[in-house]
Amino acid sequence: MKILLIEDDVYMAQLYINVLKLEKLGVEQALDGVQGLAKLRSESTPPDLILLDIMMPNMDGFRFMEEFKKEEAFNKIPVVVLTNLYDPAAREKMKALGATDFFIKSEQDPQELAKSIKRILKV
Amino acid sequence: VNLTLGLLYFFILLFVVELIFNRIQKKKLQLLTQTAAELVELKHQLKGYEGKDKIEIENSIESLNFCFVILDHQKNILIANTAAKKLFGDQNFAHIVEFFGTYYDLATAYTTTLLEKTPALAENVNANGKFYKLSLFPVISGENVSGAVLIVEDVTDSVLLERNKEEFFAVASHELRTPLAAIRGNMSIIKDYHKDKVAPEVLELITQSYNSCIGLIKIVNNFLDSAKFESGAAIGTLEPVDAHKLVEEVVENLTALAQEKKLELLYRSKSTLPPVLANVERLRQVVYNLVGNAINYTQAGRVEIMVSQEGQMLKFVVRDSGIGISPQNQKLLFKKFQQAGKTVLSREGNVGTGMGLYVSKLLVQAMHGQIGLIESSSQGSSFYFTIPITNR
Repeated sequence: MKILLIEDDVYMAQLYINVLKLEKLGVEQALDGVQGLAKLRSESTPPDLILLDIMMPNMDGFRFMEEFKKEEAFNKIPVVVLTNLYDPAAREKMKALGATDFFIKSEQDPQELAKSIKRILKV
Repeated sequence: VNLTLGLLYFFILLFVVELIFNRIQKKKLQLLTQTAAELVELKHQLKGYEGKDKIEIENSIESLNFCFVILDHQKNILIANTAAKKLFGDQNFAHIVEFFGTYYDLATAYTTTLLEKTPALAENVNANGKFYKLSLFPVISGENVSGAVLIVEDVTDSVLLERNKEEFFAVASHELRTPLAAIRGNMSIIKDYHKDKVAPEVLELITQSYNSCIGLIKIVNNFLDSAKFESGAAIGTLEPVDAHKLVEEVVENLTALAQEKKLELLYRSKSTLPPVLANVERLRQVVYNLVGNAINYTQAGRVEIMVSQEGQMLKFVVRDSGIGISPQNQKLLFKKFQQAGKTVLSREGNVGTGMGLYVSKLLVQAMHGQIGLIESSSQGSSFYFTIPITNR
């Protein structure tokens, strides 16, 4: 199982990489939406799931989702949104853009994120 | 002789009569002149007043720091103050219409105002790099509308201030929560995955730090929420919410916390409740806060939640078997920083700024409900809040 983590914060990214490795899940990182899209377009085997931050430089999570949905080759990959925006409107917007799940970084432990990933991937 | 005497008498009489008549006339004339003079004086005085008022009104209009324009019914400008001349330059209505261009259709607004005799108001009209507040009032004289008064205020500063505030909250909440999330997450990983590698006393320190971090996250959330909602920010969409389901979810999530303290957590209600009109996230936050408080402040016994219909509202009651709140501290509930100052130990010396209740009050009020303390004694405390029912 391979997961693409799109997150610009070094410490948060390391935290998620750590917990995913502990849960025996493979992970690759992109630093923003632009890098994430480039990785998805260039790789022969697409990831099984995408973890997506919202507030990022260059291309934020919302714009990434808009671009991602246009790509027939990989737009069916489930996306779990990671954010610190405790804002119901942001959640609604992401749901409308096709996000599978929503994880609030400061409100949940990373193990809960691992659980939700495993539930989606049925592993 | 008789004739002469008769004539003399006649002339004397005539003279006397004329004399009297003249005097009367003179007096009359005098009086008339006096009255006329008085009238002229009065008129002068009145005229003076009229002029003074007019000058004062004109000066006042000139001194206004917003644009003031009086238009007649044919769109001719009758009066335009300095501020208006400065902003619009040229003295005709078409020029002012052009100034707002596509941002605001002033020509149509003018026609509607005169036709319907109602004011036209527009907030935050963006034109030429600034924001304006426009008000157009019909000038009504009797049955007719003789024209309109246009008032244009530059509200750029306040609009930008409001935007800065919103931006500040978005950035502050993100920037403050991110490092806290990293601290919480890493300690949580140590507690769960590496507990065998660390000494029990170190693990205990980690657990305490983890709990403090969660406490700090709650404080940050409450601070940001209260600042946000105090400034009048919207709480989000209000929609029909199944209160029964929502309370059951909260109870399920807080059962572990209650069990840790060996407390009974009970939920009672009719099996069917009408939906309430609320923001589901914010309603959940309020229920969490009241039930969480009740668990935190109760050392033994139970916490009960009851939901029932009362008229057009659903009433949520949370009752605990804690030691109660002193009458002095009851006055501080629902206020900002209730536990600050000398009353830090208001409820069993527990942690917290007490801002949770304050935020809950802001949220309940924004959802058109009420919140309060029903009673508190040594047997326990009962809090309630109400949310309107919806038929949708």
